[in-house]
Amino acid sequence: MHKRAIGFLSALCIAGTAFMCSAVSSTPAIANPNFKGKAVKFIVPFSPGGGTDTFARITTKHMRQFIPGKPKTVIRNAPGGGSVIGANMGYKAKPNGLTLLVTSGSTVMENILRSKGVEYYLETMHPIYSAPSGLIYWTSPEVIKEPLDIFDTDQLIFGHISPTGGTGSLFVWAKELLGFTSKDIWGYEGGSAARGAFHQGEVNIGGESTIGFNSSMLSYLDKKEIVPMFQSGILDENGNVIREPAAPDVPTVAELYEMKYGKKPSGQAYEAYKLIVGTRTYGKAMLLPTETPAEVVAAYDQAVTEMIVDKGFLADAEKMNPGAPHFSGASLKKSYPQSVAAPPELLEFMKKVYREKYNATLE
Amino acid sequence: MLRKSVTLLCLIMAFMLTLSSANAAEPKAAADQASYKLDKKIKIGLSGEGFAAGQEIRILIMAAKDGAEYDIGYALDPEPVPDDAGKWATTWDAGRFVGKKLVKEGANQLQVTDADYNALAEFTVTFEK
Repeated sequence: MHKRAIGFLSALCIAGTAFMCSAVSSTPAIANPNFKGKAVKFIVPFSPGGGTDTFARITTKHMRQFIPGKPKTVIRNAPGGGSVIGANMGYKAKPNGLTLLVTSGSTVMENILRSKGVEYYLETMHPIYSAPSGLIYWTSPEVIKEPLDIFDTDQLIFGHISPTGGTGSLFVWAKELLGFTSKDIWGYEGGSAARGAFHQGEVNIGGESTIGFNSSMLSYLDKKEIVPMFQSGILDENGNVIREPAAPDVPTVAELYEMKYGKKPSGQAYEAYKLIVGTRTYGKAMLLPTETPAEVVAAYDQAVTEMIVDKGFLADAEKMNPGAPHFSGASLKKSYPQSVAAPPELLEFMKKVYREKYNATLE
Repeated sequence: MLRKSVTLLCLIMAFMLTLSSANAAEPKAAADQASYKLDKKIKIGLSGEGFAAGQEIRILIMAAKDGAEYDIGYALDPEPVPDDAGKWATTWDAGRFVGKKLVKEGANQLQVTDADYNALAEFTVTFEK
Protein backbone atom coordinates (compact mmCIF):
# COMPACT_ATOMS: atom_id res chain seq x y z
CA MET A 1 0.00 0.00 0.00
CA HIS A 2 2.82 2.32 0.95
CA LYS A 3 4.58 1.69 -2.38
CA ARG A 4 1.35 2.22 -4.27
CA ALA A 5 0.83 5.61 -2.59
CA ILE A 6 4.36 6.68 -3.41
CA GLY A 7 3.82 5.54 -6.99
CA PHE A 8 0.65 7.56 -7.26
CA LEU A 9 2.28 10.67 -5.81
CA SER A 10 5.24 10.26 -8.17
CA ALA A 11 2.93 9.98 -11.14
CA LEU A 12 1.10 13.07 -9.92
CA CYS A 13 4.38 14.97 -9.68
CA ILE A 14 5.43 13.91 -13.20
CA ALA A 15 2.05 14.85 -14.64
CA GLY A 16 2.11 18.17 -12.80
CA THR A 17 5.61 18.94 -14.03
CA ALA A 18 4.62 18.05 -17.58
CA PHE A 19 1.54 20.25 -17.32
CA MET A 20 3.56 23.17 -15.99
CA CYS A 21 6.16 22.76 -18.72
CA SER A 22 3.50 22.78 -21.41
CA ALA A 23 1.83 25.76 -19.80
CA VAL A 24 4.96 27.93 -19.74
CA SER A 25 6.21 26.93 -23.18
CA SER A 26 5.36 29.51 -25.79
CA THR A 27 7.49 28.28 -28.66
CA PRO A 28 5.33 27.30 -31.63
CA ALA A 29 5.68 23.88 -33.17
CA ILE A 30 8.27 24.77 -35.80
CA ALA A 31 8.05 21.61 -37.92
CA ASN A 32 4.35 22.13 -38.53
CA PRO A 33 3.33 25.62 -37.37
CA ASN A 34 -0.18 25.80 -36.02
CA PHE A 35 -1.60 28.80 -34.23
CA LYS A 36 -4.85 27.29 -32.98
CA GLY A 37 -6.01 28.99 -29.80
CA LYS A 38 -3.37 31.72 -30.15
CA ALA A 39 -3.65 35.39 -31.05
CA VAL A 40 -1.58 36.91 -33.85
CA LYS A 41 -0.76 40.56 -33.30
CA PHE A 42 -0.40 43.00 -36.23
CA ILE A 43 1.47 46.12 -35.14
CA VAL A 44 0.23 49.15 -37.09
CA PRO A 45 2.55 52.11 -36.46
CA PHE A 46 -0.24 54.62 -36.99
CA SER A 47 -3.54 55.58 -35.35
CA PRO A 48 -6.65 53.54 -36.09
CA GLY A 49 -8.78 54.42 -39.10
CA GLY A 50 -6.05 55.68 -41.44
CA GLY A 51 -4.84 54.11 -44.69
CA THR A 52 -2.38 51.64 -43.18
CA ASP A 53 -4.83 50.66 -40.47
CA THR A 54 -7.57 50.09 -43.04
CA PHE A 55 -5.16 47.98 -45.10
CA ALA A 56 -4.39 45.92 -41.96
CA ARG A 57 -8.01 45.60 -40.89
CA ILE A 58 -9.29 44.41 -44.24
CA THR A 59 -6.35 42.11 -44.93
CA THR A 60 -6.38 40.42 -41.51
CA LYS A 61 -10.12 39.90 -41.78
CA HIS A 62 -9.40 37.50 -44.65
CA MET A 63 -5.90 36.29 -43.82
CA ARG A 64 -6.88 34.72 -40.48
CA GLN A 65 -8.99 32.14 -42.34
CA PHE A 66 -5.86 30.82 -44.04
CA ILE A 67 -3.28 30.93 -41.22
CA PRO A 68 -2.84 27.38 -39.81
CA GLY A 69 -5.13 26.95 -36.81
CA LYS A 70 -7.20 30.04 -37.73
CA PRO A 71 -5.92 32.13 -34.82
CA LYS A 72 -7.53 35.26 -33.46
CA THR A 73 -5.97 38.38 -35.01
CA VAL A 74 -5.48 41.60 -33.06
CA ILE A 75 -4.54 45.00 -34.43
CA ARG A 76 -2.26 46.89 -32.09
CA ASN A 77 -1.81 50.52 -33.09
CA ALA A 78 1.48 52.08 -32.00
CA PRO A 79 1.49 55.59 -33.51
CA GLY A 80 4.22 58.20 -33.09
CA GLY A 81 7.52 59.34 -34.54
CA GLY A 82 6.28 59.10 -38.12
CA SER A 83 5.75 55.34 -37.65
CA VAL A 84 9.23 54.78 -36.16
CA ILE A 85 7.97 53.83 -32.67
CA GLY A 86 5.70 51.05 -33.89
CA ALA A 87 8.15 49.85 -36.53
CA ASN A 88 10.89 49.50 -33.91
CA MET A 89 8.45 47.48 -31.81
CA GLY A 90 7.56 45.17 -34.70
CA TYR A 91 11.20 44.67 -35.68
CA LYS A 92 12.14 43.65 -32.12
CA ALA A 93 9.13 41.37 -31.56
CA LYS A 94 9.64 37.69 -30.70
CA PRO A 95 10.13 35.80 -33.99
CA ASN A 96 7.52 33.17 -33.16
CA GLY A 97 4.93 33.97 -35.83
CA LEU A 98 2.66 35.70 -33.35
CA THR A 99 3.64 39.27 -34.25
CA LEU A 100 3.77 40.98 -37.65
CA LEU A 101 4.62 44.56 -38.55
CA VAL A 102 2.39 46.47 -40.96
CA THR A 103 4.19 49.31 -42.78
CA SER A 104 3.45 52.28 -45.00
CA GLY A 105 5.57 54.32 -47.42
CA SER A 106 6.61 56.53 -44.49
CA THR A 107 8.01 53.55 -42.60
CA VAL A 108 10.06 52.62 -45.66
CA MET A 109 11.30 56.21 -46.16
CA GLU A 110 12.54 56.33 -42.56
CA ASN A 111 14.29 53.00 -43.16
CA ILE A 112 16.00 54.36 -46.27
CA LEU A 113 17.07 57.65 -44.69
CA ARG A 114 18.07 56.01 -41.38
CA SER A 115 16.55 58.94 -39.52
CA LYS A 116 17.16 59.54 -35.83
CA GLY A 117 15.49 56.86 -33.70
CA VAL A 118 15.19 54.27 -36.49
CA GLU A 119 16.30 50.94 -35.04
CA TYR A 120 14.66 48.66 -37.58
CA TYR A 121 16.01 47.21 -40.81
CA LEU A 122 13.12 46.31 -43.10
CA GLU A 123 15.46 44.66 -45.61
CA THR A 124 16.24 41.92 -43.05
CA MET A 125 12.60 41.15 -42.26
CA HIS A 126 10.32 38.71 -44.11
CA PRO A 127 7.64 40.37 -46.28
CA ILE A 128 4.65 38.09 -46.69
CA TYR A 129 2.20 40.41 -48.43
CA SER A 130 2.27 43.82 -50.05
CA ALA A 131 -0.11 45.95 -52.08
CA PRO A 132 0.84 49.20 -53.82
CA SER A 133 -0.46 52.55 -52.72
CA GLY A 134 0.74 55.35 -54.99
CA LEU A 135 0.27 59.06 -54.52
CA ILE A 136 -1.68 61.65 -56.50
CA TYR A 137 -1.09 65.44 -56.31
CA TRP A 138 -3.55 68.05 -57.42
CA THR A 139 -4.04 71.79 -57.35
CA SER A 140 -6.70 74.39 -57.96
CA PRO A 141 -8.03 75.31 -61.46
CA GLU A 142 -7.25 78.94 -60.59
CA VAL A 143 -3.56 78.01 -60.58
CA ILE A 144 -3.20 75.66 -63.58
CA LYS A 145 -5.40 74.23 -66.31
CA GLU A 146 -3.31 71.15 -67.12
CA PRO A 147 -0.28 69.38 -65.64
CA LEU A 148 2.31 71.05 -67.92
CA ASP A 149 1.25 74.47 -66.58
CA ILE A 150 3.13 73.80 -63.32
CA PHE A 151 6.32 74.89 -65.11
CA ASP A 152 4.89 78.34 -65.87
CA THR A 153 3.53 79.49 -62.52
CA ASP A 154 4.99 80.81 -59.27
CA GLN A 155 1.71 80.45 -57.38
CA LEU A 156 2.02 76.85 -56.19
CA ILE A 157 1.89 76.29 -52.41
CA PHE A 158 2.29 72.79 -51.00
CA GLY A 159 1.94 71.72 -47.37
CA HIS A 160 2.35 68.44 -45.54
CA ILE A 161 3.90 66.78 -42.48
CA SER A 162 7.59 66.79 -43.41
CA PRO A 163 9.83 66.68 -46.51
CA THR A 164 10.97 63.19 -45.51
CA GLY A 165 7.50 61.75 -44.87
CA GLY A 166 5.65 59.56 -47.36
CA THR A 167 3.65 62.25 -49.21
CA GLY A 168 6.22 65.01 -48.61
CA SER A 169 9.20 63.05 -49.94
CA LEU A 170 7.61 62.19 -53.29
CA PHE A 171 6.71 65.86 -53.76
CA VAL A 172 10.27 66.93 -52.89
CA TRP A 173 11.81 64.54 -55.43
CA ALA A 174 9.24 65.36 -58.10
CA LYS A 175 10.29 69.01 -57.71
CA GLU A 176 13.97 68.09 -57.87
CA LEU A 177 13.49 66.05 -61.02
CA LEU A 178 10.99 68.24 -62.84
CA GLY A 179 12.41 71.61 -61.84
CA PHE A 180 9.18 73.50 -61.07
CA THR A 181 8.90 75.90 -58.14
CA SER A 182 6.54 76.01 -55.15
CA LYS A 183 6.37 77.46 -51.69
CA ASP A 184 6.37 74.59 -49.18
CA ILE A 185 4.86 74.59 -45.70
CA TRP A 186 5.92 71.74 -43.41
CA GLY A 187 4.71 70.79 -39.97
CA TYR A 188 1.08 69.74 -40.43
CA GLU A 189 0.11 67.16 -37.83
CA GLY A 190 -1.08 64.57 -40.29
CA GLY A 191 -2.56 63.87 -43.70
CA SER A 192 -6.02 65.00 -42.66
CA ALA A 193 -4.63 68.32 -41.33
CA ALA A 194 -2.85 68.88 -44.66
CA ARG A 195 -6.05 68.09 -46.55
CA GLY A 196 -7.88 70.57 -44.32
CA ALA A 197 -5.28 73.21 -45.19
CA PHE A 198 -6.06 72.68 -48.88
CA HIS A 199 -9.80 73.03 -48.33
CA GLN A 200 -9.26 76.17 -46.22
CA GLY A 201 -7.00 77.74 -48.85
CA GLU A 202 -3.80 77.81 -46.77
CA VAL A 203 -2.13 75.75 -49.49
CA ASN A 204 -3.22 75.09 -53.06
CA ILE A 205 -1.59 71.70 -53.69
CA GLY A 206 -2.94 68.55 -52.11
CA GLY A 207 -1.37 65.10 -52.02
CA GLU A 208 -3.05 61.85 -51.13
CA SER A 209 -2.66 58.13 -51.56
CA THR A 210 -4.58 56.77 -54.53
CA ILE A 211 -6.85 54.97 -52.07
CA GLY A 212 -7.52 58.22 -50.20
CA PHE A 213 -7.91 60.23 -53.43
CA ASN A 214 -10.49 57.83 -54.82
CA SER A 215 -12.47 57.87 -51.60
CA SER A 216 -12.36 61.59 -50.79
CA MET A 217 -11.35 63.70 -53.83
CA LEU A 218 -13.10 62.15 -56.85
CA SER A 219 -16.20 64.29 -56.34
CA TYR A 220 -14.04 67.46 -56.52
CA LEU A 221 -12.46 66.14 -59.72
CA ASP A 222 -15.87 65.43 -61.23
CA LYS A 223 -16.96 69.00 -60.45
CA LYS A 224 -13.68 70.30 -61.95
CA GLU A 225 -12.76 71.92 -58.63
CA ILE A 226 -9.30 70.37 -58.73
CA VAL A 227 -6.73 69.66 -61.47
CA PRO A 228 -4.46 66.60 -61.12
CA MET A 229 -0.76 67.50 -61.43
CA PHE A 230 0.95 64.13 -61.40
CA GLN A 231 1.04 60.76 -59.69
CA SER A 232 3.96 58.85 -58.20
CA GLY A 233 3.20 55.77 -60.24
CA ILE A 234 4.28 52.31 -59.13
CA LEU A 235 7.03 49.97 -60.31
CA ASP A 236 6.26 47.07 -62.62
CA GLU A 237 8.05 43.73 -62.25
CA ASN A 238 10.96 45.03 -64.34
CA GLY A 239 11.44 48.14 -62.23
CA ASN A 240 9.80 50.53 -64.72
CA VAL A 241 7.51 53.31 -63.47
CA ILE A 242 3.92 52.80 -64.63
CA ARG A 243 0.59 54.49 -63.87
CA GLU A 244 -1.48 52.96 -61.11
CA PRO A 245 -4.51 51.11 -62.45
CA ALA A 246 -6.73 53.16 -60.12
CA ALA A 247 -5.50 56.44 -61.68
CA PRO A 248 -5.19 55.75 -65.40
CA ASP A 249 -5.60 59.38 -66.54
CA VAL A 250 -2.98 61.08 -64.38
CA PRO A 251 0.61 61.26 -65.72
CA THR A 252 3.48 59.94 -63.62
CA VAL A 253 6.28 62.31 -62.66
CA ALA A 254 8.51 60.50 -65.19
CA GLU A 255 5.94 60.98 -67.96
CA LEU A 256 5.58 64.67 -67.13
CA TYR A 257 9.36 65.02 -67.37
CA GLU A 258 9.29 63.47 -70.83
CA MET A 259 6.40 65.71 -71.87
CA LYS A 260 8.31 68.81 -70.76
CA TYR A 261 11.87 67.97 -71.80
CA GLY A 262 11.31 65.53 -74.66
CA LYS A 263 13.61 62.86 -73.27
CA LYS A 264 13.55 60.16 -70.63
CA PRO A 265 14.63 61.23 -67.15
CA SER A 266 17.98 60.13 -65.71
CA GLY A 267 20.49 61.10 -63.03
CA GLN A 268 20.52 61.02 -59.24
CA ALA A 269 17.24 62.92 -58.80
CA TYR A 270 15.54 60.36 -61.04
CA GLU A 271 17.10 57.50 -59.04
CA ALA A 272 15.85 59.12 -55.81
CA TYR A 273 12.37 59.52 -57.31
CA LYS A 274 12.35 55.87 -58.44
CA LEU A 275 13.45 54.79 -54.99
CA ILE A 276 10.45 56.59 -53.53
CA VAL A 277 8.15 55.07 -56.13
CA GLY A 278 9.46 51.74 -54.80
CA THR A 279 8.39 52.76 -51.29
CA ARG A 280 4.90 53.33 -52.66
CA THR A 281 4.91 50.06 -54.58
CA TYR A 282 5.94 47.95 -51.59
CA GLY A 283 5.14 50.40 -48.77
CA LYS A 284 1.92 48.79 -47.59
CA ALA A 285 3.36 45.51 -46.42
CA MET A 286 3.13 42.88 -43.71
CA LEU A 287 6.41 41.58 -42.36
CA LEU A 288 7.59 38.88 -39.97
CA PRO A 289 10.60 39.60 -37.72
CA THR A 290 14.09 38.82 -39.01
CA GLU A 291 14.76 35.63 -37.03
CA THR A 292 11.41 34.00 -37.78
CA PRO A 293 11.93 30.28 -38.57
CA ALA A 294 11.64 29.37 -42.26
CA GLU A 295 8.73 27.00 -41.56
CA VAL A 296 6.70 29.81 -40.00
CA VAL A 297 7.48 32.15 -42.93
CA ALA A 298 6.42 29.38 -45.32
CA ALA A 299 3.15 28.90 -43.43
CA TYR A 300 2.33 32.61 -43.80
CA ASP A 301 3.39 32.58 -47.48
CA GLN A 302 0.96 29.73 -48.06
CA ALA A 303 -1.80 31.61 -46.20
CA VAL A 304 -1.29 34.67 -48.43
CA THR A 305 -1.16 32.52 -51.58
CA GLU A 306 -4.61 31.19 -50.69
CA MET A 307 -5.93 34.58 -49.59
CA ILE A 308 -5.10 36.48 -52.79
CA VAL A 309 -7.24 34.18 -54.91
CA ASP A 310 -10.13 34.19 -52.45
CA LYS A 311 -13.24 35.86 -53.90
CA GLY A 312 -14.18 37.58 -50.64
CA PHE A 313 -10.74 39.08 -50.24
CA LEU A 314 -10.55 40.19 -53.85
CA ALA A 315 -13.90 41.95 -53.57
CA ASP A 316 -12.73 43.93 -50.52
CA ALA A 317 -9.31 44.66 -52.05
CA GLU A 318 -10.95 45.95 -55.22
CA LYS A 319 -12.99 48.41 -53.16
CA MET A 320 -9.80 49.63 -51.46
CA ASN A 321 -7.66 50.14 -54.55
CA PRO A 322 -9.22 49.04 -57.86
CA GLY A 323 -6.94 47.03 -60.13
CA ALA A 324 -4.01 47.01 -57.72
CA PRO A 325 -1.76 43.94 -57.92
CA HIS A 326 -1.02 41.75 -54.90
CA PHE A 327 2.62 40.95 -54.18
CA SER A 328 3.61 37.80 -52.30
CA GLY A 329 5.92 34.80 -52.24
CA ALA A 330 9.33 34.56 -53.87
CA SER A 331 8.90 37.55 -56.21
CA LEU A 332 8.06 39.84 -53.27
CA LYS A 333 11.01 38.53 -51.27
CA LYS A 334 13.29 39.27 -54.23
CA SER A 335 11.99 42.79 -55.00
CA TYR A 336 11.35 44.02 -51.47
CA PRO A 337 14.89 44.38 -50.05
CA GLN A 338 15.99 46.42 -53.10
CA SER A 339 13.07 48.83 -52.59
CA VAL A 340 13.57 49.61 -48.92
CA ALA A 341 17.25 50.56 -48.84
CA ALA A 342 19.37 52.99 -50.88
CA PRO A 343 22.91 52.66 -52.26
CA PRO A 344 25.27 54.77 -50.07
CA GLU A 345 26.08 57.34 -52.76
CA LEU A 346 22.38 57.91 -53.53
CA LEU A 347 21.63 58.22 -49.82
CA GLU A 348 24.38 60.84 -49.44
CA PHE A 349 22.96 62.80 -52.37
CA MET A 350 19.46 62.69 -50.88
CA LYS A 351 20.72 63.77 -47.45
CA LYS A 352 22.61 66.67 -49.05
CA VAL A 353 19.47 67.90 -50.82
CA TYR A 354 17.41 67.59 -47.64
CA ARG A 355 20.10 69.39 -45.64
CA GLU A 356 20.74 72.24 -48.08
CA LYS A 357 17.27 72.88 -49.50
CA TYR A 358 14.93 71.78 -46.71
CA ASN A 359 17.03 72.33 -43.60
CA ALA A 360 16.29 68.73 -42.67
CA THR A 361 19.07 67.00 -40.73
CA LEU A 362 18.40 63.29 -40.53
CA GLU A 363 21.01 62.17 -37.99
CA MET B 1 -2.80 4.23 9.19
CA LEU B 2 -1.46 5.40 5.86
CA ARG B 3 -4.92 5.17 4.26
CA LYS B 4 -6.36 7.39 7.01
CA SER B 5 -3.56 9.89 6.58
CA VAL B 6 -4.04 10.10 2.81
CA THR B 7 -7.81 10.50 3.24
CA LEU B 8 -7.28 13.24 5.81
CA LEU B 9 -4.76 14.96 3.53
CA CYS B 10 -7.20 14.83 0.62
CA LEU B 11 -9.96 16.29 2.76
CA ILE B 12 -7.70 19.11 3.92
CA MET B 13 -6.62 19.85 0.34
CA ALA B 14 -10.22 19.85 -0.89
CA PHE B 15 -11.18 22.22 1.93
CA MET B 16 -8.30 24.58 1.12
CA LEU B 17 -9.14 24.55 -2.58
CA THR B 18 -12.77 25.42 -1.83
CA LEU B 19 -11.66 28.17 0.53
CA SER B 20 -9.17 29.67 -1.94
CA SER B 21 -11.63 29.65 -4.82
CA ALA B 22 -14.23 31.32 -2.63
CA ASN B 23 -11.75 34.00 -1.63
CA ALA B 24 -10.26 34.61 -5.10
CA ALA B 25 -12.07 37.56 -6.63
CA GLU B 26 -13.19 36.92 -10.19
CA PRO B 27 -11.46 39.51 -12.43
CA LYS B 28 -13.95 42.09 -13.56
CA ALA B 29 -13.84 45.42 -15.35
CA ALA B 30 -16.23 48.24 -16.12
CA ALA B 31 -16.59 51.70 -17.59
CA ASP B 32 -17.33 54.56 -15.20
CA GLN B 33 -20.64 55.56 -16.81
CA ALA B 34 -23.65 53.71 -18.11
CA SER B 35 -23.35 55.42 -21.52
CA TYR B 36 -21.34 58.01 -23.43
CA LYS B 37 -21.99 60.45 -26.24
CA LEU B 38 -20.55 59.53 -29.66
CA ASP B 39 -18.20 62.48 -29.43
CA LYS B 40 -14.81 62.84 -31.15
CA LYS B 41 -13.35 64.20 -27.89
CA ILE B 42 -14.78 61.55 -25.58
CA LYS B 43 -12.65 60.16 -22.76
CA ILE B 44 -13.83 57.12 -20.86
CA GLY B 45 -12.80 55.98 -17.39
CA LEU B 46 -12.15 52.24 -17.15
CA SER B 47 -11.30 50.22 -14.05
CA GLY B 48 -10.96 46.66 -12.89
CA GLU B 49 -10.42 44.48 -9.84
CA GLY B 50 -9.55 40.91 -9.03
CA PHE B 51 -6.46 40.82 -11.27
CA ALA B 52 -3.04 39.50 -10.34
CA ALA B 53 -0.88 42.28 -8.90
CA GLY B 54 1.56 43.68 -11.48
CA GLN B 55 0.23 41.46 -14.26
CA GLU B 56 0.47 42.85 -17.82
CA ILE B 57 -3.05 43.35 -19.08
CA ARG B 58 -4.32 44.42 -22.50
CA ILE B 59 -7.75 45.78 -23.41
CA LEU B 60 -9.39 44.81 -26.69
CA ILE B 61 -12.44 46.17 -28.44
CA MET B 62 -14.37 44.37 -31.12
CA ALA B 63 -14.50 47.09 -33.79
CA ALA B 64 -17.70 47.97 -35.58
CA LYS B 65 -15.93 47.42 -38.94
CA ASP B 66 -14.88 44.05 -40.38
CA GLY B 67 -15.09 42.27 -37.02
CA ALA B 68 -11.55 43.42 -36.23
CA GLU B 69 -10.24 43.26 -32.69
CA TYR B 70 -8.23 46.30 -31.63
CA ASP B 71 -5.78 46.48 -28.74
CA ILE B 72 -6.55 49.99 -27.47
CA GLY B 73 -3.40 50.19 -25.33
CA TYR B 74 -1.93 53.19 -27.16
CA ALA B 75 -5.01 55.25 -26.25
CA LEU B 76 -4.97 54.39 -22.52
CA ASP B 77 -3.44 56.71 -19.95
CA PRO B 78 -2.01 55.60 -17.62
CA GLU B 79 -1.07 52.09 -18.71
CA PRO B 80 -3.36 49.82 -16.68
CA VAL B 81 -1.32 47.80 -14.17
CA PRO B 82 -3.08 46.02 -11.28
CA ASP B 83 -1.88 47.25 -7.88
CA ASP B 84 -1.16 45.06 -4.85
CA ALA B 85 -4.92 44.70 -4.31
CA GLY B 86 -5.44 43.65 -7.94
CA LYS B 87 -7.13 46.90 -8.92
CA TRP B 88 -6.38 49.19 -11.85
CA ALA B 89 -7.86 52.32 -13.41
CA THR B 90 -7.18 54.15 -16.64
CA THR B 91 -8.70 56.60 -19.12
CA TRP B 92 -9.44 55.65 -22.71
CA ASP B 93 -9.15 58.49 -25.24
CA ALA B 94 -11.79 57.05 -27.56
CA GLY B 95 -12.19 60.06 -29.86
CA ARG B 96 -10.32 58.54 -32.80
CA PHE B 97 -12.43 55.37 -32.58
CA VAL B 98 -15.58 57.52 -32.66
CA GLY B 99 -14.31 59.71 -35.52
CA LYS B 100 -13.37 56.72 -37.66
CA LYS B 101 -16.61 54.86 -36.83
CA LEU B 102 -14.75 51.95 -35.23
CA VAL B 103 -17.24 52.06 -32.36
CA LYS B 104 -20.97 51.96 -32.87
CA GLU B 105 -24.06 53.37 -31.24
CA GLY B 106 -25.25 50.96 -28.54
CA ALA B 107 -23.23 48.39 -26.61
CA ASN B 108 -19.62 47.76 -27.67
CA GLN B 109 -17.91 44.64 -26.37
CA LEU B 110 -14.52 45.02 -24.66
CA GLN B 111 -12.26 42.37 -23.21
CA VAL B 112 -9.45 42.51 -20.66
CA THR B 113 -6.78 39.97 -21.52
CA ASP B 114 -3.34 38.87 -20.44
CA ALA B 115 -0.26 39.72 -22.53
CA ASP B 116 -1.03 36.83 -24.92
CA TYR B 117 -4.60 38.03 -25.42
CA ASN B 118 -6.22 35.27 -23.36
CA ALA B 119 -9.51 36.63 -21.99
CA LEU B 120 -9.66 37.52 -18.30
CA ALA B 121 -12.81 39.65 -18.13
CA GLU B 122 -15.42 41.18 -20.43
CA PHE B 123 -17.46 44.36 -20.22
CA THR B 124 -19.33 46.76 -22.45
CA VAL B 125 -19.15 50.47 -23.25
CA THR B 126 -22.37 51.96 -24.51
CA PHE B 127 -22.49 54.93 -26.87
CA GLU B 128 -25.48 57.06 -27.73
CA LYS B 129 -25.98 59.90 -30.20
